[in-house]
Amino acid sequence: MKRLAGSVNSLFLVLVYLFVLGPALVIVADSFNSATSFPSPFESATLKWYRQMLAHDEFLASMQISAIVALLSALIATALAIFAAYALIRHPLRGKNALSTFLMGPLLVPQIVIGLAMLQLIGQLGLRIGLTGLVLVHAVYILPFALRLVMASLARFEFVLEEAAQSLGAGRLRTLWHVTLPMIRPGLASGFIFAFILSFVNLPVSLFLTSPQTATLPIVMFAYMESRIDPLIAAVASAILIATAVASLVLERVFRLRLFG
Amino acid sequence: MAYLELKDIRKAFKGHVALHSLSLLVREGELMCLLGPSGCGKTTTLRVIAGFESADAGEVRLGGQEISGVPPQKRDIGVVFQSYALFPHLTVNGNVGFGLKMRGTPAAEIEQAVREALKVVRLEGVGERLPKQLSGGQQQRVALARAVAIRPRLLLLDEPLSNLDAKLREEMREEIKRIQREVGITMVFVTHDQIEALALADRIALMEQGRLIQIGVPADIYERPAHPFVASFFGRANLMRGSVAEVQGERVRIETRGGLQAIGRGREFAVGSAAVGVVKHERVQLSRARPLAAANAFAARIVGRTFLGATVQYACTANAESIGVTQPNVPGAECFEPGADVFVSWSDEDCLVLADIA
Repeated sequence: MKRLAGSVNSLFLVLVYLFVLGPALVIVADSFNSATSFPSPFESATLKWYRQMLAHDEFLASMQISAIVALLSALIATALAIFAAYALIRHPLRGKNALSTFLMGPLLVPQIVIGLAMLQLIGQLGLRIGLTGLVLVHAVYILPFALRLVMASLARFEFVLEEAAQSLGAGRLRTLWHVTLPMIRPGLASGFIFAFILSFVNLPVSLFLTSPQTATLPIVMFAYMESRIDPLIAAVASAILIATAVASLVLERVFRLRLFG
Repeated sequence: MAYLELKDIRKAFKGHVALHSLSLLVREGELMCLLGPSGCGKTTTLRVIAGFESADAGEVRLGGQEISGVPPQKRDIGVVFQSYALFPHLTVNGNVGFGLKMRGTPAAEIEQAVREALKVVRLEGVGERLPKQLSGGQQQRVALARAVAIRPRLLLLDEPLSNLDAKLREEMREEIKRIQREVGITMVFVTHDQIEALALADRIALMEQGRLIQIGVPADIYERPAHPFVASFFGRANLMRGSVAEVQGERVRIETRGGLQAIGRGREFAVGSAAVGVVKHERVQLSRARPLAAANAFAARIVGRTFLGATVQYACTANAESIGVTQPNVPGAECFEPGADVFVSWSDEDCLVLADIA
């Protein structure tokens, strides 16, 4: 009976994984398909789409831009998340809930609206939409995700450790650096990685805020798919998928943290 | 001369007053124990001394210097926390050396000081381990070593023994006393455990509801409580409430609500004023025949008996007064059955008469 329940459980898990990851696996399969239209039945295995991808300047340049934008915006968002989470959890602030809701705001607004609103704001301020603007807007959009994860790990932090550090002569900043941050490192790392991934794959926010010089990878992919659909796009998508998976695995090993569950 | 001085410290949390104008003097090299039930303000007092809380009013002086405005990291006050608060990500060496590292001490000196501190707490050879790899008693020693390694001007201990089992607690009690002698450091120790306070302290400050009730050396505070609360806090005591019927110098007779005419010692009483007669359980005698010499002797009935190994506790009623008795379990001690008619007696010197203000 118990074994039956166990196998039903595993079967259920496999089905859930298939449901979530199935479409992605189809894309990966397509990227190795030699058929020239997409999607189409599998003909024969080939690496030519990956070769084409590596020869495609636009994809390569946009990958670089996406990586830079994601890195910088994730750094900014995580740094802001540390201070915001600290203030929200450690100190009895007046209007704490309001502040928390405000910081979570970007979650509630459709991404396309964020992009449009930012475009208008930047336009009215008479600024040029450059890489800096893109990074800042991404940082705003991914802040709630980083904040949630940092807050979760800070909620488990025992603040008596800060008092211990203080009694031993460490001021606020050194306490933060030597005690608090090392203790919440898993939350920081996962917050940073989530933020990075969300920025890297984001399309709607970037849609209004990129120029040909600052086109991110999702923008270039989107534009490419508007003109034609061949397995090259599947190869690009698979490359992102594989890079993300490898990065997560490495980070899980290095930080000994569980990113997904 | 006072080394640590608290003067009229007041502290309130959201309308609840934790400390009412508390004043306390601690001498240099003294082991002062703040004792009281939970919520009496003893931990708040400790946190005000450490600088984790700032008092709403009053002064904190250490070595003659006012330190109220000094942040905790600049006070040079070592703290041992109830939960030990060891840094989980640092080794034992890292923990003990933390304070010196923050002071910018050279690495070689830190190493030396850490070794010495671990030697003082008799915990050598575990320097490379993480706190979670140590037992509770060992963690406690690391916490002590970490606090003394900075050679603090004052060491504060917040219920440091409450997370240990009974046997280990006794052992650590002796250890703390030994360390205090060896290092010669002034300590303020917070506990709710009267035995711990009596065994450890040079002086005890008994607190209740944010106020200091009595301060004194352990034997004094045990034998001569100044307040019915103090009398009931230490050991087991019979508190007989009533009113003063007769005063002859220090000899006071009170008529208790339970209908006894008890004679005891007390000062400055007027006939008719409310008073409490206090007799420790172990000062009450039980006998089958009426004792002739005792100043207080009353017919009573045994209503309960509890065997505790080294002692036997009896519950008796004399008239309407409940009297508890603790008898040592020694050879030749008479055993009384519940329901037996006996006499309870005590001398007038063992009956302390206090003003009933509680």
